Amino acid sequence: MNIKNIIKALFVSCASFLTIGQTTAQEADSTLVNLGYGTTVEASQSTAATGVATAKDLSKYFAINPTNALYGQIPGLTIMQNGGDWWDQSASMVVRGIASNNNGSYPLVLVDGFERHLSTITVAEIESVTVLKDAGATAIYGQRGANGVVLITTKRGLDEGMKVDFTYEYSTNQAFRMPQMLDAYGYASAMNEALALDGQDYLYSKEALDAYKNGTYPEYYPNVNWSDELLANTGFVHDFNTTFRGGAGRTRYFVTLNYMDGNGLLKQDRNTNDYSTQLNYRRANMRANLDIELTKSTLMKFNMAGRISGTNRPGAFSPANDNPPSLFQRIYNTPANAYPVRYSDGVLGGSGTYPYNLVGDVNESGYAVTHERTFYSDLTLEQDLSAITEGLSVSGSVSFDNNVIYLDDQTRNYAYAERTAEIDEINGELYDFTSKDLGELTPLSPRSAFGGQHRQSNVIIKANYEKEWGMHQLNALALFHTNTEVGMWKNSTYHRINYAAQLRYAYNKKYMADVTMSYSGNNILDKENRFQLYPALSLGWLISEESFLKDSKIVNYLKLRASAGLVGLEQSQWDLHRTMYSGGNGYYYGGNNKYTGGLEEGRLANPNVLPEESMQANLGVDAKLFGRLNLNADAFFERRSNLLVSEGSNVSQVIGVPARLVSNGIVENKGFEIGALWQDQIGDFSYMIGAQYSMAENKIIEQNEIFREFDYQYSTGQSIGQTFGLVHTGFWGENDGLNGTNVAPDGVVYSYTQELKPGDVKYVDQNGDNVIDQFDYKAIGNSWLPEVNYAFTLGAEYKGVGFNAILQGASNVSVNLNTQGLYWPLYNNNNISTFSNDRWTPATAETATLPRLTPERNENNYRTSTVWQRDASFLKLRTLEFYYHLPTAIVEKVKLKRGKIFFRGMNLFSLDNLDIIDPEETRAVYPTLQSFNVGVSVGF
Amino acid sequence: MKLTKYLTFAFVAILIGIFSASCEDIGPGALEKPDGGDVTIDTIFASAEYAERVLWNSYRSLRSGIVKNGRSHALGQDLQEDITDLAHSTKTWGTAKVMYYAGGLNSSNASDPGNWLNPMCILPYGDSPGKGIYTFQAIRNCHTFLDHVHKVPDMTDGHKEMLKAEAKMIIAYNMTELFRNYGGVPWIGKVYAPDDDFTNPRLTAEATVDSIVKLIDEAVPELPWQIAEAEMSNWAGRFTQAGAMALKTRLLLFAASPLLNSEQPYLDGDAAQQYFTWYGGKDDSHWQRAATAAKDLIDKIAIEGGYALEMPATESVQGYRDAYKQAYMSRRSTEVLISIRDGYESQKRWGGGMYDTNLNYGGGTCTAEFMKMFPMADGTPITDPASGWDPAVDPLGTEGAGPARKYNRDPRLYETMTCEGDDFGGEVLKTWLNKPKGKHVPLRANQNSASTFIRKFIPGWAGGLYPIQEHHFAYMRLPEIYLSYAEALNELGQTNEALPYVNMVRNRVGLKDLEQVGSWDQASLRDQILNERACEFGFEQVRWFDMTRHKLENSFAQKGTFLQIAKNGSAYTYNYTPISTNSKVWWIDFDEKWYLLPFPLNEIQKGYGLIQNPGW
Repeated sequence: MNIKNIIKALFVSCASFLTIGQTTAQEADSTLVNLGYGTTVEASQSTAATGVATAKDLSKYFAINPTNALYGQIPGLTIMQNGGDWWDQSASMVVRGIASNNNGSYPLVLVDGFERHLSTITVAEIESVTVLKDAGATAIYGQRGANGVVLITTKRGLDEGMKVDFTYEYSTNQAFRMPQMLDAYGYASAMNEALALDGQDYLYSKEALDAYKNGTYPEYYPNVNWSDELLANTGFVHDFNTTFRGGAGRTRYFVTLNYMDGNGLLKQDRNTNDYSTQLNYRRANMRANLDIELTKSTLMKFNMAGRISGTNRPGAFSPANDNPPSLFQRIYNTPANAYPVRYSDGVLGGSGTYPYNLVGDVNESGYAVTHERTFYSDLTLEQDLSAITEGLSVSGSVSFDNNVIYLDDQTRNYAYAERTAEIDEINGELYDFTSKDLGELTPLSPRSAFGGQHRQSNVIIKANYEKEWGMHQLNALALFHTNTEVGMWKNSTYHRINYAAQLRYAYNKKYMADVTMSYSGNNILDKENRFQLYPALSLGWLISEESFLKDSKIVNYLKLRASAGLVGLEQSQWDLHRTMYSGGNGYYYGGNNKYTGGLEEGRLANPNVLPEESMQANLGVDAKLFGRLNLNADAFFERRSNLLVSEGSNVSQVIGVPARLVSNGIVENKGFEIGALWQDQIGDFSYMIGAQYSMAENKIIEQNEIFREFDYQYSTGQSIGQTFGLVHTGFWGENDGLNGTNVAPDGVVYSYTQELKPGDVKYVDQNGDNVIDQFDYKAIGNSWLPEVNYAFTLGAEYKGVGFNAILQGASNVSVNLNTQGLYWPLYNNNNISTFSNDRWTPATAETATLPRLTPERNENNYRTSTVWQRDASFLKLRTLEFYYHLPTAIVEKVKLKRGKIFFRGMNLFSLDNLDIIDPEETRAVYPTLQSFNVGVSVGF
Repeated sequence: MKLTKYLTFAFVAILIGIFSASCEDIGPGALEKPDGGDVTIDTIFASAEYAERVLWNSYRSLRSGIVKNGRSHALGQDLQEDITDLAHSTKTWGTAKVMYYAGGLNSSNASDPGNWLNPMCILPYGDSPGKGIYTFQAIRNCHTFLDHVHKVPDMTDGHKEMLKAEAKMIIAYNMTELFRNYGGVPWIGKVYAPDDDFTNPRLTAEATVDSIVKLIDEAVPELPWQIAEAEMSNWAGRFTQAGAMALKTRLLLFAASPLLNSEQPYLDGDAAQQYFTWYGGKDDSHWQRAATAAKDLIDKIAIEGGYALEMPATESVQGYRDAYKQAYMSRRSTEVLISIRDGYESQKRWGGGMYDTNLNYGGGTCTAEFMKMFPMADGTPITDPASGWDPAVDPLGTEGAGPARKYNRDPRLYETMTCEGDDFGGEVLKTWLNKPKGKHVPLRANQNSASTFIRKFIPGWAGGLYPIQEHHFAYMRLPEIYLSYAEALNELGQTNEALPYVNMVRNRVGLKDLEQVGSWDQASLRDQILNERACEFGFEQVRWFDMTRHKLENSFAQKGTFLQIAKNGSAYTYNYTPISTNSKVWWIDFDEKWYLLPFPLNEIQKGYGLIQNPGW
């Protein structure tokens, strides 16, 4: 895939950010790749490990959040799907795996050079996404670069009149997979089965079961499919995008307007209210990027982007509540027989055990709205100082960004009732009716709240010097960057400063050597330690320029790269170097529960905490063979040190205060990436086949781990996020000689239960002490982070008709299915899903993969173990697109210049081991989506 | 060209302008901005109010025995009595079951249990904020306070001395708790820095006791005898002279008991060889010290007043019950010497805390053996044929309803455990077991195991809701001083001199003098005093330490039974069923190692000289 990116780089250059006179080169046949701080360099002269995805690559996806357009695009950039509200399913990004848990291991994401959330802009604005992977590329970011850097470049104006493009896309989406819950009869039978296996009386009589099955008494013995009741089959999104791109004289502009409006999967009853309670998200994005040549040597770039967005949802789930219930948890967790939607007199059903009515939640609880306003602005002045010295230029940039969220509710309570009746065994009639009113209808009441504000500002000053003499080429850069980031409170303010310099030298355009240096720090740590120096050296050798390869027909292009260097990552915890007292708990003296506040000593200070440090080395090769095959491979090694770990394993607890955090942790991370792209054209037919494979494997070397009695208990030596659990070897059977105690027939004591019963999980006694307990936990399966990611890209076009497809997969990844209700059935008033079909029963003892049902919180069966762990590997068809470029003759008839129609589908299938749910999102949340889209794009 | 130059100039000027004008905000200076509002040790001891707050924070280490929702200082979500012979927890996930009944406690899991749901031992050797355990934090805080309070400008010397004495008492309390659970422990006599050489071996049992006593003796003269009446509404709950003397009595009585004061250690081993777990011999002077400490307090009360048993307003069952309830439950009780404050629990229905964890989920289920410890209403032991007690006929002595209802047993029985048909905050208790399913309001899950559950601390329902009320936990009450004094005198051979002090406690609830219900020698009075302590202090965290300090192996090993009441029509039948839910390993195989707790292996591995208790 990297090869592909190199090819892309050959055809589509990125915006020149610094070099005057090159801003029009964006679609020119240039060879520029984007490096840190807006520096660009010819691809053949680059010594860094980078990966690029262009606007064209991204346009293969329909994605509300640009992160979701990055699956399988750049080797070494892992994109992980998330559930959550449909508008909120922005994926997580990780560059080359993880080497620490600090700051979520996320890379630094920069939009036009400034730290901004990728999810706040639209795909249509993006010209290119560049991932900086090795120290040679990231060292310039100093204390922010160790997790990798993702550079987003937005589109800019062109010097060729005005181009207007309009695109409209309609997308319908549906749950990719949703767990199926059992119906009332299934639930009641399962409950009886569970009770029987625990030696208890049944709860549902034969008459009751029949009533559930036959729907005899739907009011008192209901059978409600809550998903059907509450969810429509499809949601939809309208997406309109208009861009104006052009320029004349000294001015160039790129202006875009994007409006998106979409509804979620909720089924609302519009007869009930004069307002909508649908899950709705709409937003308007605008951007204006201006380039103005103030003089022949002065360029001003002014970028302004804003977004107005809002969400709507039923009032019961208002984010302004302290702890809002989760809609999908309720949908999944309310058994089909909990209560009817409504009784015959129209009163909503409910029960003391499930004290809400889901239809009431959705239709009768009012609505909750959020408003979000995002504003980004930056101004850059570039001055060519050739008048002073040939090749010298300076530039200065300032930026101000702001994001505010505001919550606005109109919510109310609704009335519902619990009504029960028994069924007479003899005549089958109902008797013993009870009725209890629950909840109280209240009028809509307004509530507003401030949801948060986030501000950032930057100043960057740069000087650049270029010189060429003889066979020598020199490029020097020096910069100063200061950044202020303010969260909700003053005490979470970051001030950051970076002084950096870069020297790039090339001899005869064949031998390259680059040196980068950053001296950077922030206000988090002690003065002595906050600034650190981060140097890197990278070398390149363009072998294909050597005489012995120069005229080769086979090898068209071959370059070797190597880099080594030090990159940092700021700590994210405050005041580690100072011992602070804060409002600890006090005491209740006197009467009337009068509380007298206390002050508590915080964690002991450690003035020696350092920023994380990452020693990285990279070896890479780029090649083009047979004029068609592009190959690219990189191997890397990273040693992350100064990870914060507790001193608690060495220092006695009796000192009475949380142990210091010390910079002693070490993690090693290594791996490789390979990309290949075959691209060819035969007459009118062009096609491409790409493949990429990346692997990153980390290992905890040092973390001050506490003493463990058994070696297999140490997480040191394992990877970050490794699951520890019990290993099971099947289930106890009826004829195994269980004796009513927790001592198994083989003498092993099961400490998590009082009595072993048939169908309970049988575990391996790892330490052979004849007790199953916490000391038998060992590493099972893999981490939650896939070690391997791979993708295939296919595309072909014939006379304007074409298709694109991206398949993306991950492996060496595990998931622990422990969501109550979905996987751990019945107890705590939880529901039961078809996942439990494979449970142990006396009849299925031979084939069961899950333990018996029980209405109790069974500590033996429900714990982290291989019973519940699954291999979460998958291969997904992320996108499949067909398009047709309308023939010019037709287009021109309607006075257009371009026209295209397209159809596409996202997440069409997944090959994996979890058939009931998306392996990337297994919790009880809004499901991940599959979508079918149709769109039209015209230009004039 | 001119324009170029001009613009270049302007450009540079603007940059310089931005840079310098906002230097404070964006330049290197930004990193040096002073942080406002930070509270460090210097800030704290520059102000009386802040300095005091360090002490108030330390008071939090006093652990209540009451289970509250989300907080559980006693034994996870179980009560300490659940691991004695008085009560049993039928919760399958509770701490009592996992750590004690199933024998799960060991040196590897004895440390910080973290999450409030995780099982724990009585007192982990290491703090656990999630469980409300702040032993070492409080000791550190108090030493910090002692070291720095002299700097506080706006505080009188007298006040400083009083606060220092309180700090010493908080240290003494925590060290006493450690001592009762672990024997001799390393002495934490200063604020340790992480780089300090922490080779701090355990003190011998004797040295530990002496060190604590020394602290208490230093504190006593500086403490107020009691909280002045005018201050009660704001400051009740702080250490007083009487409270300090009470703690000293409890400590010395524990130290004098056979666990430590014996010809032989309870178990041999390194820790015994080095006298961490016993004195190394038997010496009556230890009993004498305990007796003297108790008598000092009794004498001082006689002179100073301010403390007295809560006495019944009327000599009736209700009068006795009210007096007893006032004694343990009320924050204004005149007989509480050390009161532990744990806020309050809000009004809720099946929300958690004492209700949920005990009545609902099965903690604090009283054994039939506990029920049998209570004498008849006149004080006659039920074992006395003259008592007329019959296990099969109205054993609780409560049959009858309305005015005809009898209360034939010790009134404290009715305050300690739920009894069929009794009034429970306005609702009538139905504790018989053969109720139809799902129709057993107000008691819920517990109904399957026994008919007697804890009712101490639980005032009852008001329409199914738990009334909001102040909580406190009576850590030490005056009757304990009387009974401790009596016990020490009896051990010193002064059996007859001991009797009046036991009688004082009995008479308050209408029981006859001991002399009137039997004749007493040293051995029988010893048993009787322990029985009296169980009846008086049920669920007040006294029984466990009585069982350990007297090495009551039989109380550990004797399999318990539950009283199960069945109701047919209006007739009751009473069954005594051996406990089947959560059986204890002790019933099969009791090990004396359980008298003291294991030190966590993690802590021993840190290599500062901690030696494990025998048997672990």
